[in-house]
Amino acid sequence: MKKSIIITSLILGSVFQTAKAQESNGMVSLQYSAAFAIGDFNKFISAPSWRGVTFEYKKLVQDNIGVGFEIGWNAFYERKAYATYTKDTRSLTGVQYRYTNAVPMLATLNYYLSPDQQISPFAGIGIGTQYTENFLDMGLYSISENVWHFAIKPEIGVNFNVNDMFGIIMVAKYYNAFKSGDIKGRSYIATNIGFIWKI
Amino acid sequence: MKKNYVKHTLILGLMGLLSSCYYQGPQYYDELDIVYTNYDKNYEFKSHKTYFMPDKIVKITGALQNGEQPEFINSSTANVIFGQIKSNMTGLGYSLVADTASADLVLFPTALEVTNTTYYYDYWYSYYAWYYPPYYGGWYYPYGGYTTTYQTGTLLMNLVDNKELSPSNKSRVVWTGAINGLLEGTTAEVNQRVIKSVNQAFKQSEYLR
Repeated sequence: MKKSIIITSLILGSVFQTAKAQESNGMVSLQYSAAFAIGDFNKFISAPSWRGVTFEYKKLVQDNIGVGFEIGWNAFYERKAYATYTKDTRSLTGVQYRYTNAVPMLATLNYYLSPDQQISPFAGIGIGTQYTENFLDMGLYSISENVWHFAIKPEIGVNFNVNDMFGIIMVAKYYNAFKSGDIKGRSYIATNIGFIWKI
Repeated sequence: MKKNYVKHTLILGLMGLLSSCYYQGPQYYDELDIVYTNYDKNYEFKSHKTYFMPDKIVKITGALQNGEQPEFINSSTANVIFGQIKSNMTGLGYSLVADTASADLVLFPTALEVTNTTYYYDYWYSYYAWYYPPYYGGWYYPYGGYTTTYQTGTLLMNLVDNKELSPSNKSRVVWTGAINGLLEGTTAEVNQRVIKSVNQAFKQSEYLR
């Protein structure tokens, strides 16, 4: 966990240094995010998440290269119907409520294919950490685990530049949050739509 | 002007998104009922098919002093529980015998009632109250705090070998069933849930057959 925070801080620090050194345009973006758990995470919660938000800041260090950071939040929830769970000789039956809050915090690098056009596709990568809060409620009991994962995120998307100040963004992000200690990975795909303000 | 426009749109956007962040929780008492079972995998259930059962269910109320009589749960609820246990045990091939000494097994049901007092507050508001900027009316505390009491009930069913005693004179427990839930609702509703959970305890213990 400490390692992830240090790496993220170093990367974010260098990103800001680079951004400051160059006099170029920046942009902030606020996006609605729907997400779908995959892999081990999907075994814990298979229902899609319709509650999420992503905030991004980017600075264009070249016409077609943006560096910055993003912080997001996706809330996953699933009610598992009355069922029996068996381990060795023990069996437990009941209704389960499973919750996960995922908060990715990443330094980002994006490449824009046609930055001057009204429709500007892009690809990007992010690296940093993802904090997850996991709750499993059964009967009157609740188990919770809070974990920091090392995370890498490739993304592809498109910006629709409405005017010099404002645009719309559509993007698909794959948050690859690796196994941390005994806690399995919490990876998911997010599909976001939101606004961009150029500053 | 441009900066204010960005700031206001961002704040409104965040508030809108955060206000819709409630999770769905349990809606009915029976959604909190759980059934737990465990058994001794080295025990030969097939060759032990007679059992004895007391005619009262002990209510655990704390450590008993020497010579003190235990409390028992009321006979109408106890009868419901005994009825369900008997029909399930019969279904699994066991015979109830009246003679304690000759029975292979003894099934001890015991009950536990706990009253809990809890202070509740709204989870999400407590997390995000600090998020709302002073611009929108100043800082405020999470609202909706209140206290409540609730009663939980546990029924334990221990099946012990009647012949095998440890060197310290303790019986060998070969199967345990525990059901737990909220003791809320009418007696009929609680009994209905108890019946369902007792049945489930035996249903998930097919190895008893």
